[in-house]
Amino acid sequence: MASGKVNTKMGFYLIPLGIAVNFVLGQIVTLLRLPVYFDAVGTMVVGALCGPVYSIIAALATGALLSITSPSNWFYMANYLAVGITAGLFAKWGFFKKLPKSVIYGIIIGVICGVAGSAVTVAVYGGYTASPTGIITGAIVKTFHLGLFTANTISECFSDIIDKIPSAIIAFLIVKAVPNRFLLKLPYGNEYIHGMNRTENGE
Amino acid sequence: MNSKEKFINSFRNAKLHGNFILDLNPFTKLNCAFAIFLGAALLGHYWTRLAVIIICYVINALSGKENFKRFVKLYSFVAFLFFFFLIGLNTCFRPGETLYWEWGIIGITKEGFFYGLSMALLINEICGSIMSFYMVTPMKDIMYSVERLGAPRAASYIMLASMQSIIDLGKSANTIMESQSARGVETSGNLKTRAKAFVPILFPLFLGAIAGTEEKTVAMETRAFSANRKPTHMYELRKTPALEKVFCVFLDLVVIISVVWRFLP
Repeated sequence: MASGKVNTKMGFYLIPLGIAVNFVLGQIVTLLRLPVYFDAVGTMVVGALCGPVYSIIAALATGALLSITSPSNWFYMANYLAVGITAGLFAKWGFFKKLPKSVIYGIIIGVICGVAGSAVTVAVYGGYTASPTGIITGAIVKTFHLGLFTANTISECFSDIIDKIPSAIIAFLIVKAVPNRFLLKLPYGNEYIHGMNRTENGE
Repeated sequence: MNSKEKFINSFRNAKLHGNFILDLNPFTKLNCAFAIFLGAALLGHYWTRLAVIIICYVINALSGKENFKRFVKLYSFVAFLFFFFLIGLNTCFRPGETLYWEWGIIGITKEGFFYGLSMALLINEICGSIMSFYMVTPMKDIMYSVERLGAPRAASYIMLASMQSIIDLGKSANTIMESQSARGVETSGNLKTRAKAFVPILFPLFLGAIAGTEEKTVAMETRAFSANRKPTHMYELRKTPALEKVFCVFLDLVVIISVVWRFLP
């Protein structure tokens, strides 16, 4: 193993990059008119390569910076925090090493964000968000006569899972494409080194 | 005094923006933003909430022409979205006693409309005060003040470097997008075509940025960023005038008294 100190520094400088990726992917997606947000890919990559502490910092900074242009993001800070915590933890458990596991992570974080988000929506907005998701919620409430929280959970889980599964897959592909010589300098990088005959201790 | 001396002297004193609102201490502004929006939220009248939204416009207008233009452009869009969706959805879906019109799952009610209006005003006044705070306080000033309170300088670096990285990465994303469409990658068409265009933009962008990060690490470390000493600042803010502190306390008291007075029997 490379010494821990060298590793941490490179990880630290990766955080602003992760935050910028969160922003810029959102812009590209808007330009290409795709029906997703992709504002968590950078956080996931930072979590996968550097671990929970880094991804939590990246997630919180993303939330704070996104709220400059859309202040309502402050209400959903818990969602960003959830992505930050889970991205690092699941990377620790090796979830970004294989594609199927990344997809599972996408589903799990989609459900977590859906439930947390709907709790916020009910508490702050009184039930309906200012987005097309709100229309789905309204339709569910009226058609199936469900409570607002249940209806919100269903519609937000739906939209979050659609968003988070591709995000997790992209994060997995990016991590896979990072060159070895860069991986060596990152805290969790040793796990992802490819194209070499690795021995048990990852050297 | 020639221009060189002027430039050098500008670093000897605290930085001033030359505008009464921009020069206020960041914490004064944060205090005002919180006091105003919490007050209006707790008082609960339509008029106080509308007044806060108007105050936000006035504050930004006073803070300079450029700021005002940016604020109007960003905030008007956000405000319109909230009014449109919150009033529309609550009117159509919230159950109420006074039913005006019903068709399928949509039922337009009076209670729903007023609930939506009050909710939209509430969310808009909160968003307006948060956005005004960001507009009249440069991120540099916020991070400088937070650092003075004892936050690590790494925090300042992350926030300020991210803002720069967002601009840089956005530029290179545009370059890559144009190059890829020049060599024949379709960036418009149906959903599948557009989704396919995403991949050849993403990977060059991210891998290029990672190479840049490596250079940045070396550059920062050779300039002793991780050195274990207290850093000096080239950019300093002025000492907060006493009048500003008095004003803060006064505003907080007014808000607290009016909220208490409202809820007293």
